[in-house]
Amino acid sequence: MSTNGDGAGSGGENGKLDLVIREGRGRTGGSTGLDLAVQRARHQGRRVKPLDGDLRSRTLSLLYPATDQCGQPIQHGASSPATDELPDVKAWMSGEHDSMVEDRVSRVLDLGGGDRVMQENVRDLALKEFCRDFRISLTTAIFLGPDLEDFRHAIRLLSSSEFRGERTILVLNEGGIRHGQTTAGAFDPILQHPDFVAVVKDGVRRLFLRRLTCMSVLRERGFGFYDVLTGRPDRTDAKASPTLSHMTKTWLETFEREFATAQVADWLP
Amino acid sequence: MNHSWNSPFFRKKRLIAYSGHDQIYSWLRAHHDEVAARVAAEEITWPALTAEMARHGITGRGEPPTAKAAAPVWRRVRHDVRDKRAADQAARSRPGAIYPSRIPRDWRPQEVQPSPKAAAGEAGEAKPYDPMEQLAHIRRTVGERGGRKQ
Repeated sequence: MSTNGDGAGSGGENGKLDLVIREGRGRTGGSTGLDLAVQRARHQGRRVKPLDGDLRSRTLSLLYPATDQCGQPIQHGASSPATDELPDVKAWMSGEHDSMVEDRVSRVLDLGGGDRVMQENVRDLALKEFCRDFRISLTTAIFLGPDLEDFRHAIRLLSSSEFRGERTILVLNEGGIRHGQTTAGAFDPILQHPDFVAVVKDGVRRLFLRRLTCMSVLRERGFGFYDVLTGRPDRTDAKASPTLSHMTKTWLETFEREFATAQVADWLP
Repeated sequence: MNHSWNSPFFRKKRLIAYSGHDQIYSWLRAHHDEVAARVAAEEITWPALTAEMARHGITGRGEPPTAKAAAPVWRRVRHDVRDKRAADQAARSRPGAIYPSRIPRDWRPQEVQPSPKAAAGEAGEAKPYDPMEQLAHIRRTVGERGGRKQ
């Protein structure tokens, strides 16, 4: 991604060290959400390293390559396990936890569909206690599309005693609604569901991630979300058009307001 | 120094002639701070004060000042000095009122702190977390995105 981590301030310099873990079913916009969290933190001068445990889509690895075209390592490029075999994934995660304690750089971890890995990791490492001992703020973000099965899966995760951390965010991703659906019609069954009401009352924060209709254009041209605001050109040295800039700026501003309203801004890296 | 009522010991000062006012006014205005302090501390009486004026050669309509004549003048002086100082303060507060070369070396702009309410509001932490409000908010947001009238 064009917004790299070079030269940014340490995530741990001010004592703030975050581990954000994305869980939930695949294709619910979790990688995009983590990408936004990484870009936001770097734009604000904090270092974040993406951890890509979703080897099927490899979104974070593509957005934040670990090496440049000459094979030279890129600082805080995405890290991923050698294979999606459980021992490899667990070894990789343990190594990243160790590195995080050493370098005090925040991490975002994409475990798209890797819930079993996470459950074992939580159980084997006692992740919550590990994070507490090493002053790491652990946040779990569960992404949902409008599909009720996404929601049921999220509720199963939240019901698991191994899963629940102190900070959990349910992200309702508007980008996941299908053509022809209205936003309200798509999400009403979830919003009215008694389990949704119960988990929000229980302290799980809710977040609504609006769709950015020009997302694909940004990706195609290699723009970071904040690049278009700062006037940074794309790969062909062309700047974003005013409409592209305006749409992205409005989307980011809306998201900041949503962070503030849901009181989760401090939970992000 | 402990002043007694019959030996006020005001230093002589160069007096300014104020339009529409007599010498008593000029003298009281020149010694305003000291007179105000000693009157407030009840260290001096008006007969002693007018005797001091007379010692400085001050007259009112050609006659030595009297307490009866000086007291109302003093009220006028206090009022005028208060107005003048307020006006001076306002002028100094106006940006650009003081030449840069006259600004003290150790001057620093006044730091304005946001009110706790405003700061909390910006951070989204103005209120304790209210789950019911959160539910209402997301339902409202989703409804608006779906074009539903609230």
